[in-house]
Amino acid sequence: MNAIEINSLTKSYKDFTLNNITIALPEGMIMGLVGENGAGKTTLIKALLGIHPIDSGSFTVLGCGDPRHNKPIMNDIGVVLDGNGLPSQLTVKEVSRVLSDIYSSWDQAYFDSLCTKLELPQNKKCFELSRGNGMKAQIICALSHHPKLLILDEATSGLDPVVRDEFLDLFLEFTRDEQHSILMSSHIVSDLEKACDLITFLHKGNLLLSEEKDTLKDMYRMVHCPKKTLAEIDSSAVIGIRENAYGAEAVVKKDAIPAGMESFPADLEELFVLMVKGELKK
Amino acid sequence: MKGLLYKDGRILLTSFRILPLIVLVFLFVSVFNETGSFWSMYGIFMGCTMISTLQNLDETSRWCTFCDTLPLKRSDLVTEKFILALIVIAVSVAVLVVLRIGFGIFGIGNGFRDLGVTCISMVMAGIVSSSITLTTAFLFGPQKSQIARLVVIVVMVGACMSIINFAPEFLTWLSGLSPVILLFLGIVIPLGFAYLCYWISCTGFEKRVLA
Repeated sequence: MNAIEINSLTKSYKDFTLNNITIALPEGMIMGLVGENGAGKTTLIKALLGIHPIDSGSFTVLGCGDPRHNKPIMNDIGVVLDGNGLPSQLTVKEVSRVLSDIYSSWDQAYFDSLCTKLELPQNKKCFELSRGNGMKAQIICALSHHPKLLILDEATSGLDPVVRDEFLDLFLEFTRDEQHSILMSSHIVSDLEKACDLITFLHKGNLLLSEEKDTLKDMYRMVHCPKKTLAEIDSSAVIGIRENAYGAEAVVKKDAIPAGMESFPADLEELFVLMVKGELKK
Repeated sequence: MKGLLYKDGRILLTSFRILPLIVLVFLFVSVFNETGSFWSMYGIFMGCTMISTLQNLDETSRWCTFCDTLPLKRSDLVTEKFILALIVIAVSVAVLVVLRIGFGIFGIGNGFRDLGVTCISMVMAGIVSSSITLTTAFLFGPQKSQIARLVVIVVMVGACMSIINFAPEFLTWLSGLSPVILLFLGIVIPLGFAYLCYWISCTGFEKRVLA
């Protein structure tokens, strides 16, 4: 079963359209949403949560087409949105008391253990927390009711590399249960590269691709060569080019690379940046 | 619901404790003052202002957006604020009754004089003013509804002062009504009005968030 299934989802605003998005996140997997600012990542997440109604298409979250009005389903979803929404005047401990009354499956012992593990002070008011600690508090709250699906919007931004690493380990541990899945958007592509099984690229509201990370890395290679040499490659196989004084770097479909031409594995960041640049040229 | 009430209760008692204290002072003054009804009314209006302050805070801390990610309906947020308003009104009236009876036993203050009418007037004014302020806040957002809140307070305080100063016979007339009619006028009709406002708030809030 898919934890999230989206078919031809379209949502329009005055100056932006999330256009015809079709993706699926199978249970037990982590999907990374990659896109520049304004690409539509948050819009997609808010549409999935029913915060903003969609114009056309359909979606299911944990098998439900309208999660917002289904309390048991919302009980199985943990969400972290960009920007702290916890009650600013309450302490972290008091927030846990509030949420324990809202979530039927709230686990106070687990909450306390995560706070201890991640060194989050429980007696501080939320407005006194640093951005990093605020994000920690939100992530801990999202995990403490044992959700089946985590939806994270820029959840690791603002955290130092050590804490980010701890969270990524926590997310990996979370998806060890085959029924647990994560949809996470981030600007920090290296985090997604480390944690995700599936990668989805969004650009200006359009879906560029949605593939398994390993397949993606296997499909494309980086080529560093003089500009003239690039001409030997079928142009339709060249996804994006970055030119500099020493020649050119290009992301190319692996099958189209001529024999003998040196190529390197492409990391996700390069792949995304060059893909977007390729799209812009079109 | 319990969690939402706990949140607002904690905020009132820890971060804005000055507001309940002001209400208490007004109620205390009303026990001894000749125009006790006016001061108790003012107390109840201040009590209703506390709820609007909490709504402002919810908006600035993006609490409503956060609630969209929780197993809560948007109408739960509206229900909680209306229940909180009723609790504030009930507690204010209870405090006034305790103060009046407590001091009255020793022959101090206004004692039992017009206590029933005062309490029912407080309930009526509290329910009407909080319903209007809550509804405008849910429809237009707490920031934009501040003017409406001020207008409600000024109009209602003005009406109370006018009655006390220029038409004291109205209070005497009220005192002479049978308890059933008094309860109907002071509690049943305002509760009906509050329900109407609640319904408008639920519908309007949903529309405002989706817009």
